[in-house]
Amino acid sequence: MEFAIFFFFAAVAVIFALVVVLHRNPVVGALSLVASFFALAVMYVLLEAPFLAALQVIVYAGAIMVLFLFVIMLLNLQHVAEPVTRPVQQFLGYTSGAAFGLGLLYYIVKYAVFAKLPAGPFVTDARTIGIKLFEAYVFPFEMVSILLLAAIVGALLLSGRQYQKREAAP
Amino acid sequence: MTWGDTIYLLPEIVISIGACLLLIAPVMRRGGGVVRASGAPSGGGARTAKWTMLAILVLTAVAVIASSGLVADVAQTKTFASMFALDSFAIFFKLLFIATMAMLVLLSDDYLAASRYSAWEYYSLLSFALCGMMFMVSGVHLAAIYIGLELLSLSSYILAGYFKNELKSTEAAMKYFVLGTVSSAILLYGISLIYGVTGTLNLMRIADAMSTLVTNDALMFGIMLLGAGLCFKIAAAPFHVWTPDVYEGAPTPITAFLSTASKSAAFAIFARIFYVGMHHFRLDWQVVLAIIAALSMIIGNLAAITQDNIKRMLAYSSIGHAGYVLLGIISVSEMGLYGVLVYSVVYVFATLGIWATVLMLSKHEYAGEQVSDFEGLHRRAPLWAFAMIIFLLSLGGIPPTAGFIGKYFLFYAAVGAGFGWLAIVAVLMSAVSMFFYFRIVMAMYLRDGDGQAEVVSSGGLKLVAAICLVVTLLFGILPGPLVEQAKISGGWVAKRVAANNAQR
Amino acid sequence: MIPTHYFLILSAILFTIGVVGVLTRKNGITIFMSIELMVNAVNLTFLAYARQFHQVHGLIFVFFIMAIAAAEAAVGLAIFITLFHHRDTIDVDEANLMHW
Repeated sequence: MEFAIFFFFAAVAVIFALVVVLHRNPVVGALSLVASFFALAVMYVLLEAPFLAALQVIVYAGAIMVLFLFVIMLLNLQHVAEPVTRPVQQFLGYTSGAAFGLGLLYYIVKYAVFAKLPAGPFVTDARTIGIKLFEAYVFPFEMVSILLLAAIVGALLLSGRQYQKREAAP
Repeated sequence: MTWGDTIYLLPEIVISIGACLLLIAPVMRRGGGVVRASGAPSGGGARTAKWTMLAILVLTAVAVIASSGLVADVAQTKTFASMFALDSFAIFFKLLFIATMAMLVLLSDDYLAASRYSAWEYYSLLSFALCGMMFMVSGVHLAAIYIGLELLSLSSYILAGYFKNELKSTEAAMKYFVLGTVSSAILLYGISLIYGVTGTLNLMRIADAMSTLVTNDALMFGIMLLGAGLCFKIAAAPFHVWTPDVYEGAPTPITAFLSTASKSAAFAIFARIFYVGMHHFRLDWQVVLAIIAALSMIIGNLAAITQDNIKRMLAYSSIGHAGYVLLGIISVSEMGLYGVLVYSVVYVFATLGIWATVLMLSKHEYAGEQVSDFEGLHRRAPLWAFAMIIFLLSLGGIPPTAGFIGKYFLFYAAVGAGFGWLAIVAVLMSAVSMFFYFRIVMAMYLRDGDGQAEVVSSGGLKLVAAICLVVTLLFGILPGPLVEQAKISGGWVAKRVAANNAQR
Repeated sequence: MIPTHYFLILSAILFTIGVVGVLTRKNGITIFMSIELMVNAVNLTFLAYARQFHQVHGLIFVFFIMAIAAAEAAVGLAIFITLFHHRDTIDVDEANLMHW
C-alpha cells in the first residue's frame, strides 16, 4: 500500500515538474508547481515528517506559489506565451542536464543505498522540532529572523512606487 | 546552550541593532509623522546617515575587539551547540570586513548625495550584509554558514538593484539574483549529499567522519557541488559569467562592495570549509580546483585586455584574483592559509584604492567608467595618478607593494603542494595582467585627453585613497606585522591541517 | 517502509528537471520556478537522510531552507517587477543592455 502511494505521488511530482519546465504559459507552470509541491508534501508524510509536510503546504504551496501567481497576474503575463528558445541553447541545456542527472543517479544508486532503516519510531512532531530549534539551533534561528527582515526591507524598496518612471535612461 | 553564550555574539548583535536603527531613524527624525515613501528624494539626511553608520561600525569594531578575549580553538568550541566559533581566524576577517565597510561608507557618501536615493536604507542593507559576513566567518556548521551566505547574497541582490530607475542597475540585480539562487540551490544539494554520507552538518564532525572513509563517490559529488556553489560566490572561472555584467550595472560603490568585502568573505568560508571540513579528501578535490584556478587566471586576465570599460576590466581582473586565492586553498598547507589571509587584506586595500579613483572621476552616475576617462590624469590630479599606479602595481604583484607579499605566499604554497605547473600559469598570467594595468597607466601619463571627466575629489575619497596607499606601501616594504598577524590568526585552522599532514 | 534511496532517486530526478528548466527557459519567472523545484528536491534529500539517521538536524535544516526560500521569493519577484516597469518584459534574453 505504501509503495502504491509512493509511486503514484512520485509520478505526480515528476509529471507536474515536467509541465513546469516544458509548458510555455507561466500560469500553467505555476499551478503545476503547486501540484508538484502537494505531491512532495505526501512524500514528507511518508518520510515520517508530518510537521514539515504541513509547512510545505502552507509555506511553499500556499505562500510562495500564491506570490508567484500574484506577480504573474500583476504583470499581466498570463497571456504571454514564451517564444521558442534558440535550438542550440535548448539542445545543450537538455544534454548537459541529462548528463548531470544520469551521473547523479549513478552515484546515488551505487553509493547511497542503505541496507535497512533503523528500528523504532522517528519522532518529528512540532514539539521535538520546537525544542531543538530553540535550544541547539537558536543561533541560526535568530540569523534567519535577521535575514527575513533584510528581505522585507529589500522587497519594499525595490517594488515600492517609483517616484519618476524611466528617468534619465543612460 | 546557556545565555552566557550570547556574549560571543556581541559584535553581530551590535551591527543588527544598528541596521534596525538605520531603518527607524528617518521616521524618528520626522517626529513620527508620515513615513516617507521609499525612494523619495532624500534631500539632506545623507550626511547624518553616513555618520550614524560610521558610529555603528566603530561600535561593532569595539565589540569585536572586546570579544577577542574569548577566542578559543575551533576544535574546542562549544558555543551555540558548536555552531559558532570565535577563533582568531574569524576575528581577523571580522575586523577586515568592518574596515572595508567603513571605507565603503566614505566611498558611497558623495555618490549617494548626488543621486536621489535614500541613504538610510542603503546603509541599513550594507549593515545586514556585514552581519551576514560576520555570521559566515564564525560559522562552523553548514546551516549557519549557509544562512550567513544567504543573508549576504540577499542584501547584495537588493543593493545591486538599488538604483531602480536605472535600467542597468535593475538588469544587474536580475542577473545576479537568477544566477545567485541557482548557485545556492547547487550548493545546498552538495550540502545534502555530504550530510547523507557523513550524517552531520558540523564541520568538525564532518572531518571526523571523513577520516574514517576510504573513498566515496557520492561524497565526491557532494564536495564538487558545494565547491561549484562557492566558486560562483568568489567568481571563479566556469562560474564567472555573472561578474562583468553585475559589476558594470551595479552602482559603483556597490561594485566596490562586491569586489572587496563580499569576495573576501567568500574566500574566508571557502578556506574554512575546505581546510577544516574537507581536508581528508584533498587528493580528490585538489585537482579539480586546480583546473578551476588555472581557468580563472587565464580567462580573467586575457578577457580583461579587451575591455574598454574600467568596471568590466576590474571584473575580469577580479576573476583572475579569485584564481590566485584558490592556489592557497588548493595547497592545503599552513603557508597556503597564511597566503589566503594576507592576500585578502592586500587585495581589498588595493582594489578599494582603485575604486576611490574611479569614483573620484565620476561626475555623473555612470561617468568615469571608460579607460579614456583616465587620459591626462597626471596633469589634472598628479597625486591621484601616482596612487593609482601603486594600486595597479600591487594588484599586479610587483615588489615594492604589498601585492608581491601576498602572491609570494600563494605561489610558494602552490609549489610546496606539488602544483608547480599552476604556479607557472599564475606567474605568466600576472605578467599578462600587467599589460592591461599599464593601459590605464599609459592613458594617465602619455595621453592628454580632452579633460571631459571632471575631478571631484572629496575629503572622504581622499581619506580612503590615503589609507589604501599607506597600507599598500607599508605592508609592501615592511610585511612583518601583517605576516605575523596572519600566522597568529590562521593558527587554529592551520594546526588542524598540520596535524593531518603529519598523520599521512 | 519505503527504502531511503527511492526518495533519493526521486529527488535527483526533480533536481535534474529543475536544472534543465534553468538551462533552457527564457522567462525569468519560469526560471525562478525551476529553481524552487531544485530547492524542493534538496529538501526531499534532507528529509530522506534525516529519517535514515533518525536525526532531527536534517528536518531543521529543511525548516530554515523553507524560510530562506520565502525571503528569496519576495526579493526576486520584487526585482522582476522593477525590471518589468522598465521594459515590459521579463524575458532574460531581452536583458542585453550590457553585452556578454
